[in-house]
Amino acid sequence: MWAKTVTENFANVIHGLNASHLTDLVIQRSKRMILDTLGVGLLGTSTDVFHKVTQYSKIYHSDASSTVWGHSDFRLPPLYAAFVNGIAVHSMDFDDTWHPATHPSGAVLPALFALSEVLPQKQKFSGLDMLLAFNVGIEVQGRLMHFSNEASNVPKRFHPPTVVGTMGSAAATAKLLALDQFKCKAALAVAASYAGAPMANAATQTKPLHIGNAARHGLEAACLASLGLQGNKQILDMESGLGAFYTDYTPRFLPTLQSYSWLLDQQDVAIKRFPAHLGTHWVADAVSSLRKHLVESDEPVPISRIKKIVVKVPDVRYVNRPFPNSEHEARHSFQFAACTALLDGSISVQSFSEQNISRPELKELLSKTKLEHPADNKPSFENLYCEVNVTLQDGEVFCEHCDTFYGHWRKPLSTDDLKKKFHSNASSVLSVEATEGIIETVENLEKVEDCSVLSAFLKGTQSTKVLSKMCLP
Amino acid sequence: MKHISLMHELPAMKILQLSGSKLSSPYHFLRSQKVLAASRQVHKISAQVLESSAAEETVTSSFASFIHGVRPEHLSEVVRHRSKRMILDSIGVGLVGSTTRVFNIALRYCQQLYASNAVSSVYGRKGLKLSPALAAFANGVAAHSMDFDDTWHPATHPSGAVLPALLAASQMLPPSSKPNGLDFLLAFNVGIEVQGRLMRFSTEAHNIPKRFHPPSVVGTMGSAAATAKLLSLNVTQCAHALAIAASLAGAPMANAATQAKPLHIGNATRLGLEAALLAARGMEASPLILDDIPGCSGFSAFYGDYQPKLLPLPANSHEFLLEKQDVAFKRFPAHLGMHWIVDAAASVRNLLINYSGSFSPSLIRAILLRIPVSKYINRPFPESEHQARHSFQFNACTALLDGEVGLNSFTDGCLHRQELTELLDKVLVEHPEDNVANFDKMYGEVALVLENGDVLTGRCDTFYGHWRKPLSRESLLKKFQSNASHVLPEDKVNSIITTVDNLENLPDSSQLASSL
Repeated sequence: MWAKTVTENFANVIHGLNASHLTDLVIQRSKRMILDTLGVGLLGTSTDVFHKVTQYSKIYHSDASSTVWGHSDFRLPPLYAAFVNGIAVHSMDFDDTWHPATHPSGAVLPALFALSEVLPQKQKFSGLDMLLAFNVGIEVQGRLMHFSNEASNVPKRFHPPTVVGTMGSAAATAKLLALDQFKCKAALAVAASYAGAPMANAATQTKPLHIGNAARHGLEAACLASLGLQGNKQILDMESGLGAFYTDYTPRFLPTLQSYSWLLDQQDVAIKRFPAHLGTHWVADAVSSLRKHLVESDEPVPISRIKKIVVKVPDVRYVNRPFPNSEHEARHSFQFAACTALLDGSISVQSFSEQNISRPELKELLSKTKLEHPADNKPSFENLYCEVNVTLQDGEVFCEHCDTFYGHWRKPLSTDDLKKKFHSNASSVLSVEATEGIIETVENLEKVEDCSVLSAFLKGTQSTKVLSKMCLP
Repeated sequence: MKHISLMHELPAMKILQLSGSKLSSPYHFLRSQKVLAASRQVHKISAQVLESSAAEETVTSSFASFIHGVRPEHLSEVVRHRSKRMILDSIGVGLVGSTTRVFNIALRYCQQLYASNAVSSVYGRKGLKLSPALAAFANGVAAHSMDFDDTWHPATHPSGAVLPALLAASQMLPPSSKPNGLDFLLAFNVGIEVQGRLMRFSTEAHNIPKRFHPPSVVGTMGSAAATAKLLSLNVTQCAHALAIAASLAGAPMANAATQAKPLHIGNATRLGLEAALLAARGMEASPLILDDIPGCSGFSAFYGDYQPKLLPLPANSHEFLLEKQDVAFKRFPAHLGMHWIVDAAASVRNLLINYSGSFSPSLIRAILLRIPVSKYINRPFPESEHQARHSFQFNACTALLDGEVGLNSFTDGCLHRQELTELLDKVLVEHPEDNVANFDKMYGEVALVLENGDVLTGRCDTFYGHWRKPLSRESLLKKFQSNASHVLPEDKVNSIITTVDNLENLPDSSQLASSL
């Protein structure tokens, strides 16, 4: 079997090797290795570090468990609740995006919720505790990204949520647990050893795991730190620490607590209007405007009249896909976004269904679509723009430009539209009551005495008992 | 709030006892923090005093202070408002996301993995079983906990990243499809081979690492490959296992010489196992993860230079790297580099004894160590056992004092001996240009400059245990018996030796795991 790629080739070999390939020498040497490893392992069970991790791992034997969002029929151990809920958040690339580029909330929130459910009933977390811990998690991510210039652009090497997201989750969890300074430091150090996943898995089904893992690994790091595990006390200072993930790395001190200024104060996030890579949002807005020049809003676009579509965007390889084959690829395709917006007027959750991805009309338009990368179009969510030119068969050219899409931090979603998005999403799995309950609880989060009500809503139970627990004025 | 048991059709779970003490909840270790915090809030002023007086001048500690010291009052209006919008949006997105296929796969994986009938054994804990990933984690940590595990060239610790995953997985499979010893041995070698092949994709990998700790990079991939083999995944699944594993790889060097280092192996083996399990459940990832894709890094993300090569195809014979390149086994629990310097120190110690009749430290004016440049193993005055295992100076002086380095050399008692500190004070380090930071090429030299001006030198090019001078079967068994007998009775120790000796004839490889 001839392999075209190294990766395929590795898979072939792993699969194709059999016992007859083992030589005597290899057998002998590998048995020595196995024996030595077993002995070393047995000895190692007498160490402190081993004791800590087994104590930690026993968590998976207990009744203690956390809510899986949208599921009232079973629960999971907190780490895995954080994992799956984090995956859910990033599963459609529908979650928030910040500048410098990362998806901040999905790495933090699931970890906090999961953890908040397993501590004994007497210790409840107020909404304010949750809000503070959440913001610590966001802030740490932002600050870390400012340590390198590389981080300001759309990423090429490591997927940012896996680097800073893991650290943010550790910080947030450490905050919720009220760890002392030494343990906060340890949480950061241990988390660094879990950080970092390569970009190549973006636009694949594995990408959501990047956020799921960031959440759970950060949580795990904080739990281990809480048990006394220590790492490098200068993990953020060293090039061989967090600097390992960057080519330029200049760590900086945080502002003094006397008058702390949060990054979120100066720099908001972008909230997506449809579930696809942020870059496609510029394309969607430009194309929607352009479409209005062609036809009335409820009329179909005359595909055969279109000769050529040119989409001018920055050079971002992993969003350049002329003919996406899966929903994951479609969410990471400038071309797909342009053609869908042209066909339908806008992009929505349904645009990525199997049916819609493989529509013949769409494929026809895709074959007429080309990308261009103007030199002044920088690959940064702060600076990029999209220009679309549609040329008709008769020579007429239409052109539209988008600098700032609706939902970007320069043009944030209105409260109404934010709620509408939430409604539309949540009602796919929760009752109206629970949906409303969450909206109201979050709106008044700093006054909520016991944020476990949120978990109760998230689970999908409907009960007036839960509402009354909210203790709102 | 009532917590519903995960597998509702199974009997109530036992609460485990940890060496006699009863745990009312495994989360009890978390409880105490909140209680302390409550009292801290009451004594806010005294807490602030504590904070400012404990200030160290590092970025890292400023972060820790921030996380620890920030209060709700610090949240501004805008920040509250914006963050609440984020929370709301995030929840909504998560809820709709719970209807996706990827979520479904992840969920089914978690449910299976954390079933209350935990099945996998833990080293030295007879009767304790954990879920496979966590047993792998714990055992991986054990393997690297003292830096006593094997080392290869190019540099990594290959076995600890692979064996625990296989042991755990072997116990996971139903009785009708248990892999036999030969399957196990094959899977083990697949895991080792993949690691070796991946390291040959960059020149950087040939030297002692500076950026990412190799076991956390290639070890994770090796574990995924080995587990995929043991579970007989199809070709496509094998590819996805590797790609999923890549997203779980990579820990920075800075945590070497700290207590967290063993987690690198623990995580490599556990996360590689998880990657394979996810692939088995249909999770898909990048089909080009090992290939070089300009502008969008795959596995290349972990290296400065990266030239991937195809693996030779197995027709009738595949040449495993282990054939040409053996591993080194350590004689004492410290970083491999220490082994050269210890042999050199032991030999110069003998010279001194011959010279003056006994080992008298007072005769020594200076101790010169000629070692390669490698920051994380150059520590003049190590403070912890972890640092001591990564200190040329410490190991050289211990060998000078005691003639050798052993398990006990790293106990508290020995770490801070007066005589040792006196010797450490006399140490000077030199980095000869020809002493490269490479386990195939480096050497160790210890020169004693005596008070009377004479210089005695000991040198080691190849220590006993290195691949050029492998441990004899006797020495290897002695090491195993010495280690294993810390937690297992003699008959068990010997039966493991026999089992591994005859591994290829073992009908059910999970017996190996259950004998631990």
